[in-house]
Order: sequence, then structure tokens, then C-alpha cells
Amino acid sequence: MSTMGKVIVVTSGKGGVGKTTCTANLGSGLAQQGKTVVLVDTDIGLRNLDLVLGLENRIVFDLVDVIDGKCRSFRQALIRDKRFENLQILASAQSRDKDAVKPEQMKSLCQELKGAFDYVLLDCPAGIEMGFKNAIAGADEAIVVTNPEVSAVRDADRIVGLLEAADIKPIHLLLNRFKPNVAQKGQMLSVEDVQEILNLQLIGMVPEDERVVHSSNKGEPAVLDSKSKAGLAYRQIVHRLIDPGAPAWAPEQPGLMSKIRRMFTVNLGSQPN
Amino acid sequence: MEFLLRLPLLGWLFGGNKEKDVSREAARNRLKSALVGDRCSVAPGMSESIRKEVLDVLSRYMDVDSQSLQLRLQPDGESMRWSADIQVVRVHRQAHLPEQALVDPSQRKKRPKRNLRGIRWRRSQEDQPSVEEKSA
Ligand SMILES: Nc1ncnc2c1ncn2[C@@H]1O[C@H](COP(=O)(O)OP(=O)(O)OP(=O)(O)O)[C@@H](O)[C@H]1O
Ligand SMILES: [Mg+2]
Repeated sequence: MSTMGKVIVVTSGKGGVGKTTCTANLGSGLAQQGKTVVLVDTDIGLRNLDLVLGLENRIVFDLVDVIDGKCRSFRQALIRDKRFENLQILASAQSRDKDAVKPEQMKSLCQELKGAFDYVLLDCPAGIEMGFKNAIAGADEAIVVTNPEVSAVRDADRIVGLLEAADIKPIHLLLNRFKPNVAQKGQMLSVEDVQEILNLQLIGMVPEDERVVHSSNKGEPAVLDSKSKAGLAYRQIVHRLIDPGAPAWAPEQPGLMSKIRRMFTVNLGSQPN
Repeated sequence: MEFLLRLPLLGWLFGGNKEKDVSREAARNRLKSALVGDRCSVAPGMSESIRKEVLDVLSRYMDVDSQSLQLRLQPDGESMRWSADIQVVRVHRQAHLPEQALVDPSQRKKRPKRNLRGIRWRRSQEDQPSVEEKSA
């Protein structure tokens, strides 16, 4: 492989919005499309990515071992995925001091990794502390994951400012845990609201889907589950990562009743948008 | 018309979500104004460099008391308001205007834009849609 791959950091500001889940799913989806992929868990002290992919029993070396030169090369620390041989993960250190890694070291590791893989996805810790700075140090692009909820969007805005300052672009917006039926009733921020407020290119919307939790429980990413709506959304995002011209998200077909309502409400007053 | 929509069945049939709780609006508005505040307070190096440039421009037209310059960037509804206040000592006479000041502003060299989320906006990012740049 002669061409350089892409380093994409998956980040959010607020914790628990779905960074690790997205990293695991997009990584598996990209591998399914035949790309060579490495996923790096940069959340030092809070190892998670391995669990979501069902690889927790295979870890020998971790990120800090690689950085400290405890293994011959990064290759020795990579764990091959169960399903795709072109997908590998580098686990984070579980019992280390959070400041064991410096941005410069991450930068050179990312440089090495992108020489060997088409995609390097970095699962970023929550917050804007050292862990975040390390995770973005070597990134070319970013996926900002957020939920349609005021505090998550606000934190995302803060992160976007820091990413722009670090000259990381493009910055893609991924709206996770969206509930179309709630949004349709005006009880939740819409996809367009979040996009307008953050002023970012939307790479995709992932609906709230309990199958995501089942998948994580089993250590099998939802992107491979043909019945999962979230899985479908992840597959669309994968296509957009590979081809930025692919459509962002297919809006749900409105139900018959809401179509009829719309016919009658047009002349009755202001329609939102 | 309004009272018809209040009737439960008709309201449900034709009014759609109109009568229901629209917390979306509240979320939008509260978020927007919170972000304006965040973006104003997060700009660390910005006010220092605006200060320098403002004094630079003003001094071409008038003598000012640079110590008295007060700059403010504040939320103002959905957008931001930038204001400046300064003590003027003496305005230059037209004849003494430095050449620079007479150049049509649109002809001058563009300065790099600033990013209102706080930090420097690199030239290369100008193609991205920017947030309301009221203060630029
Ligand atoms: N689309 C979804 N539908 C339903 N549940 C989801 C969805 N996405 C994520 N979750 C659930 O949300 C929880 C948090 O997800 P995840 O661990 O990926 O977040 P995170 O951003 O990595 O958190 P942290 O900041 O702690 O690292 C998990 O239980 C996950 O299964
Ligand atoms: Mg995580």
C-alpha cells in the first residue's frame, strides 16, 4: 500500500453520546467494504472499544506499550477483529496514568499507522483535557458525535472551535440517538436545527435503536445487523466516508395521517420551515 | 378558525402538532443564545489583537487616549454585539490624513478572518460557512 490513509478522530465533548459505538460500527463497516482499518482506543484508563467489538480477551499490549516502545512495533500490539481480517484494533491502557502519552507521540504514531492502513479511526475520550488533545494531535479529519439535546450540542460547539483551531478539516457532524417520531412532534431538536446551530456538514443521522445495545452486549456491531435501523444508518455513513458525494440521510417517509394534515394545514398558518 | 382547532377531533385531524408542547423551539432558542455567550467568552487572543488594530486604524484619523479604549463583545438576542468606546483628544484635519486612510477599504489587503468560536480562523477554512461574523 503506497498511498497514505486518513486519520479520523471521533469526538464529542460530552460523554456517553456514542463515540465508541460509532467508532466500532464505522470501522467494521469500512472493513466490510474492503478497506484496511485500524481503530485506536485513546481513552486511557477507560478501555471500552475492545468490549464493543468482542475482542476483550485478546489484548496483550496496549497503546501506552506501543508509545513507550515496550513492543517491537505497533503491529505487535494490534488485535485482529473476529469477522474482518482487514480490521485491527489498538486497545487503550487500562491501569495507567492518563498523562502517560504526549501529543507529539500520538502524532508520530498516527503518521506510522496511516502509512499502513486506509483508515485510522481514533476513539476520543470525553472532555477537552489532555486525552482530547492527544487524540486530535495526529488527526486529519474529525467526526463530531452529538445527540439532539441542548447540553450535547453545546459541548459539540466547544469541540468544533478547538478542532478548527487545530486546523482539522473537514469536521463531519454525526447526530446519534435521534428519535424521528419525537422530533416530528416538535418535542426535540430536529436534524436541521442541530446542523444549523453547529454549522457543520452532516455526515449522517443514527436513530435511537435498542438493537445497538443488544449488539454491544454481544460484542457484534450493529452495522452488520441487517434488521437494525441504526445499522442501516451506519452503512450509509460508511458510504459517505468513502464517497463524500453519497446522500447524507434518507428522511423517513411521512405517514399517511401527517400527509393529510399537511394538506390541510398549509393555509391555516405558519408551518415550521 | 382558532376555536375550531381546539375541538379535540378536529384539532387532531387538522391541527397536527400545533397545540402540543413544542419544546423544540425552547431548545433552539436557549441553545443559540448560550452558544453566542460561549463563543464570546472563549476568544482569548482575539480581543488583544482587535484592540491593537482598532487603535491602529483610529490613530490615522485622530489622536486618541489609547488607555481609555473599551471593547465589548456581548450576546445580543440571537446574534452578537461588538462595541467600542474611546476618548478622542483631537481629530486630524483633512489635509493631514495619511494616505492609507484614503484608500478604499475594499482595495486593501484582506486580513485573515477570525473564528467566533474563539480561536484563529485559518485562511484555508474560509470556504466553510462561517458563524455570523458581526464583529469582523
Ligand atoms: N443509536 C443508539 N441507539 C441506542 N443506544 C445507543 C446508540 N448509540 C449509542 N448507544 C448507547 O449509548 C451508550 C453510550 O455509548 P458509547 O459508549 O458509545 O458512548 P461514548 O461517547 O463512547 O461514551 P464515553 O464518553 O463514556 O466514552 C451505550 O450504552 C450505547 O449502547
Ligand atoms: Mg467511549
